[in-house]
Amino acid sequence: MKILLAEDDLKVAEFVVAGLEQSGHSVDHVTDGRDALSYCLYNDCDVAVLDRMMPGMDGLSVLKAMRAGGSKLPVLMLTALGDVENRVAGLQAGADDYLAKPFHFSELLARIVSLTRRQTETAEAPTLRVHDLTLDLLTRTAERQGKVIELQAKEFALLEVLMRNAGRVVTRTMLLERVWNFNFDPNTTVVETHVSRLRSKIDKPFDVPLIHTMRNTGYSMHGPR
Amino acid sequence: MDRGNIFSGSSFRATLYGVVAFLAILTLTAVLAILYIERELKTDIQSQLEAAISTIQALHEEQGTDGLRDAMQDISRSFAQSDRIALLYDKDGNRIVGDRHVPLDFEGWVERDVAVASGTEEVAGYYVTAVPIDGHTLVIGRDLGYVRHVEMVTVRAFLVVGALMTFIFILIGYRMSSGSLGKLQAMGNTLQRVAQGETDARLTVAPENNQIDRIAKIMNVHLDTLSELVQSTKMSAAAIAHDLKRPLSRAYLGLERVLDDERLTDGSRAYIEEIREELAGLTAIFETILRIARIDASYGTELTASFDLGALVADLCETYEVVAEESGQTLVEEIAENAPVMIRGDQGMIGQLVVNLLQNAITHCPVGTFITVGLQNRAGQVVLTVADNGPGIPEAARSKVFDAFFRADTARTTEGSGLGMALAKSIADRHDATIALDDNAPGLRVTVVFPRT
Repeated sequence: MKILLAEDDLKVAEFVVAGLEQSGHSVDHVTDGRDALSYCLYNDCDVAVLDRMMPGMDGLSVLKAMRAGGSKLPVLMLTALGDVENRVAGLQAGADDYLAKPFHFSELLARIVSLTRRQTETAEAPTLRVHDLTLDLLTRTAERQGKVIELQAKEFALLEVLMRNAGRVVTRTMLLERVWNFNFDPNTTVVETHVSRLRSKIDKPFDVPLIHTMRNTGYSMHGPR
Repeated sequence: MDRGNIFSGSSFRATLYGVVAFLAILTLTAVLAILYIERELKTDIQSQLEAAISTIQALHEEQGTDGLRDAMQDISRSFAQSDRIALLYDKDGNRIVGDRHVPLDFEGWVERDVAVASGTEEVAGYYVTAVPIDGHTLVIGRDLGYVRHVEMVTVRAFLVVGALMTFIFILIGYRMSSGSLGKLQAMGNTLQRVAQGETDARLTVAPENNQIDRIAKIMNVHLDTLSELVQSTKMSAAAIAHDLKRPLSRAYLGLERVLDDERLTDGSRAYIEEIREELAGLTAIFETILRIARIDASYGTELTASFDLGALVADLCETYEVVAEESGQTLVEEIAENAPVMIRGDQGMIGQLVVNLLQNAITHCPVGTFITVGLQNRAGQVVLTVADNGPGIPEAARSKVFDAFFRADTARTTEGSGLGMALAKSIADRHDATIALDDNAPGLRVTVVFPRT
């Protein structure tokens, strides 16, 4: 996968580039907003990571110019700490996701992967399937090995996000945003508690576990490998 | 405007003192004037009557006792139609001229009650004197009625002037007092607005430039300084956010690079992960501080969106019922309304407010605690309560809970930065909602009252 990183902090960029390359991606790095815009206009890439604050042209303006030019390139915006309003402004301007600085690399990686995945997803499938578990989005029921599993509303939403990202890492923060619509960290065990409940319903009664904890990062759903 | 406040105003009181002093001086003047008028009029009567006495004495010297008697008869007759009297007594005290009686028990000029006409009981005050002439006693006098009348007119004039002046003084005092009260109230309102975050509000200074206006000018200078300070604090908060972003980002990413190193021993890995957790905690604290700063800085801009608080609270209760159950507590939802409870505001912010209240109850209460979440719509006023039967907070400490970094347990053994309630307060203020802590007997009850929309 080819990634554009527009970030003016060279030290941060160095870590991110090294990490992404280690994960098997190819990265082009620019330090200026104008360079980022011209790169997107004349080069082909799969995803762009834009810092909100950059010399030359800020990330939001770059994004607006790109979207005005008809580009559908998935964009992840890096925003300042504690600035929820700017995140909202970013999403309204056409960003596909945002991440507040400072961030963990694993969080950035999980979001980049999730972004490209979203892009390749075509028609909305009425059912999601992971190994022998199916989730019917229309009847809102889960079924594993012929047994119907009763789920609470939040458990259903949680399972849906995990299954849509099957095989990929979904971070705790991503779950808070997508299942609970929290743009803040509630400091309580909301995610852990609900995952544990969900596990007791869809994993415990069966021999093959499907929800896997990714140390320090989040969760991933997949069948036996 | 409250009348009581006007009458208790200092300028009104000053006017009252003025009125009392004026009335005292006026009364003294009236008394002196009356004494003077009486003396002058009596002197006048005296000189007139003494002229008559001299005439009678002259006649007596010319014509003897008979002349005296005749003259007295004439005078007495002519006096009968006026307010004067002339009487003559012989040496045995028998009246020989005149139709009225005055007891001869005085000397010089005196006031005596004398019948107003012969044969009547009605008396009036007369100014009389007795003069001995040739063994006889001549008594002559005048009714003081007209003196009393002049005095009465004078008193009436003073009363009218006194009443008129008192009325005018009180009117002026009322106007001045209500004027300054109005100014003071306007000042109070302006300062209230500043306290609520509207830092560019200033006191109005009237062109008359009285004491209050001069104080307003001084306060405006202080408000300018204050808003500059607030402005620079906000700017430094934003600057801190930007400055922290860099080192924290580098530290996060650097630690993760180290964690990827396969040569790392399990022990070192555990240490680094611990540091990473501490760093995440540090970031969370800074994030909350900046969030509070940003919310406070946005105070005053209108919140246009509205949403169903009932649905939001129900949704959050569903989530936190599970969290509470996991820590051995019970969360009970008591939403009285079936209809949507619409409030104006930012759903994300209010969500965080509710979460912070729930989280606070769950974190600070022991196993077995009941946490009750209530939502009521009292005639358009939306009231949200989060109550528990846990240890509660001593009354003295309750108001400090909203201060940043305050925690009821000074040992700081429990989790949390002590910023959750400060953030909740900022969010409530931003929405013009009130947030209050009460004794739930036992436990703590947090009440958030949203304004009518």
